[in-house]
Amino acid sequence: MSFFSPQRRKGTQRTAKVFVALIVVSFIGARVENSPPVVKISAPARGTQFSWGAMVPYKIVVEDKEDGNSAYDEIVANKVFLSIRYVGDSTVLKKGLSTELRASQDVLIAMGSTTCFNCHQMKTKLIGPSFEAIAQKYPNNDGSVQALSKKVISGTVGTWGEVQMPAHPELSVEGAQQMVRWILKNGGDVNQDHLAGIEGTFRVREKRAGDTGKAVCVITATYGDSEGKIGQHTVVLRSKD
Amino acid sequence: MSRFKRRDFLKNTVMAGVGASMLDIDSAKANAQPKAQPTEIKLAASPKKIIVGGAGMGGLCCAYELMKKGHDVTVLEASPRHGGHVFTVHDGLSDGLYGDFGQEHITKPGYDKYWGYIKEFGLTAMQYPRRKNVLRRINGKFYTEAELKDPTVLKGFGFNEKEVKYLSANPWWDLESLYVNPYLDKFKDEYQPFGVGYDDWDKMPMADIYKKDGASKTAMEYLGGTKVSALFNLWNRAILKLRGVPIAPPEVFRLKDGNQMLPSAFAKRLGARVWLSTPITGIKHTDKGVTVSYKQHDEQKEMTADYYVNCIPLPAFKNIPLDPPMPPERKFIAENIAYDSYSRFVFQASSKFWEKDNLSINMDLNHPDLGDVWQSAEEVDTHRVIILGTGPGGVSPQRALAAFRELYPGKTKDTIELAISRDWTKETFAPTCERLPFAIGDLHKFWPLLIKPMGRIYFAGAGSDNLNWGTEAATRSGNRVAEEIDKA
Repeated sequence: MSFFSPQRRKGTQRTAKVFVALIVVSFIGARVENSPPVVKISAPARGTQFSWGAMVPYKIVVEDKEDGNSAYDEIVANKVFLSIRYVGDSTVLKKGLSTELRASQDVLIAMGSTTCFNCHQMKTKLIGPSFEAIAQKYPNNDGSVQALSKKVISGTVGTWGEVQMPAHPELSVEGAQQMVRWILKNGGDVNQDHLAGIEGTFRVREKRAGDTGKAVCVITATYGDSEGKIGQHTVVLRSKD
Repeated sequence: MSRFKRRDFLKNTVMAGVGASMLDIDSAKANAQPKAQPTEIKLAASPKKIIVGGAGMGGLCCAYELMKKGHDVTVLEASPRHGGHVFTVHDGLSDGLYGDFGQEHITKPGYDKYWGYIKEFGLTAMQYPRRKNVLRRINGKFYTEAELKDPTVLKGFGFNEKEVKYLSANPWWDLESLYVNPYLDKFKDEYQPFGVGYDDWDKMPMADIYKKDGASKTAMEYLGGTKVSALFNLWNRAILKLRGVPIAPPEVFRLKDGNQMLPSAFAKRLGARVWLSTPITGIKHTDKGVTVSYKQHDEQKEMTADYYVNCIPLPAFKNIPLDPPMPPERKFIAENIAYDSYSRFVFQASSKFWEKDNLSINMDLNHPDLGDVWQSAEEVDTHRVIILGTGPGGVSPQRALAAFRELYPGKTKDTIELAISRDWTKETFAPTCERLPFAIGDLHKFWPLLIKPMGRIYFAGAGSDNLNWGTEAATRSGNRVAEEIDKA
């Protein structure tokens, strides 16, 4: 292997950091801070206008001093999320939007650390049912949360089809319940969508009553690094019509 | 969870078999190396330019046929390798052993086009006894094939009298035939499920037919079908009957040196026409032609052509922006068609440890982490052996190995020294594997639109034929579309 290959460089860097950290801890008692990731939506560009129902290509760039760079495939793609929110009239931009975004980001990061998004998508069927379909099937109450989180942990087959969902023994009951609660609460919301992956396309939802000429689509890219630091970038897209 | 896994019987992929030594299927000529026939390229009456999306078996086969008919063809593949879900891997395995991470086997009868290519390219098909002497774990206990024909055992499971009679004379996997056979003669054209008298049954679950015809509770559990269109299910079985193929053929075959030999043979003949690491990012289409945008070395580029053949599975294709977009009835198919996906496990062992226990290694384990195991790559000259297995995506190879060790019914300690896997659900571009049966009411919405062209865009590949058996559908649809475009 070449000494200059990115992996080698990464590894060297990490070793050096641990070494430095040891020295610092031993002699000064302080800790070297982990750097937060830098996340950027490189497409669509700021100022891009969207049409209702159209497909929009997107690309996210993640750079993290410890985890690596998405340009060199060093970032696990399913740990990077694009969250999409629709606001029918931006002159009355909801104040709660950022609070809601923060609440979702923690759950999404937890879901990205396990295998959820390999088989599930928010709005469309992949190998498993969409979170929207799950939210439509089960009422958002404690009974559903308990039953579904149990299925998440022990694995299941037969509810939606014949494909086996694997067990997730690595999840705590509390963690699984938090994910299920989030799915039941947000899965059916037409004004939000979440995609895993650093690159792809999303489909803008169809126009609905209440969507004015001042409608916006707020897209936010999120990555939580291995030390729990979060990087985010938001771009606001305006409606063409 | 049901005691018997219906999914094991619906698919062509998940059963097992053992033991006999591997033979060239034409053993008299076993030592003679088959010869590839030279590729003849004809002069087309009206040469066309065609872009094929996806270099899986469907895309490669369709492009090869178009090339032979004298057309100018370019295959754009998003991932850095061709072959799609046909994928033979040697990496990490010792002594020249290999494992098929994707496609498992072919049947005979069936797979007519595939067998044609085996001859054309001088490949060697081998008997694959993975579905012989299968040990099946039911309710936590292993049963041999003989035990599963024993009326006492069958009665114990709760099968009714006619089911016990049928299963004591027929293989375990064939119970469904008892209930579907009376309906199949009406289907005459394997591409036409409608107009034979069962059109309304698309809106009814298959389970209702079993119930109506007196299936026991045990059989209902085994056969499932509560979410599958009855018309779809009967049509599917009629296709097999018309081709002379059983529901789960016990006689199966694979290619010597791995199933990747066939896509590699296509790709070799196509040469520089196959472009890897070239994802399609958009398609503009009119009644005169297509303009395909793609990315190469991170640069956006465009190519125009007379036709585009889509061999990308619909769940991935639906994410490519089309201009104009798909009409609603097409969008419905793309968003509702269901596929499965899985992890393939490859265990390398230093001996056939199961033989000491007088057991077959073809096992239907029915464990949530590991569905089944069987032996492969027997022709490689080594004392080591390869055991393949299938389980759900998200299960690590060590977890699958732990499941095997938990359930292995012998006394001998296994000699497995390596476990690796391919988790198809983690694939960036096409995580889906085989198309699943259509849901209740969907056949009328999906068929025949699923295989009909949309202007200058044609559809081929494993998901774009009547039957869902991967490489069978890919080679059939590849030939169909090449023919259609040649004559257009």
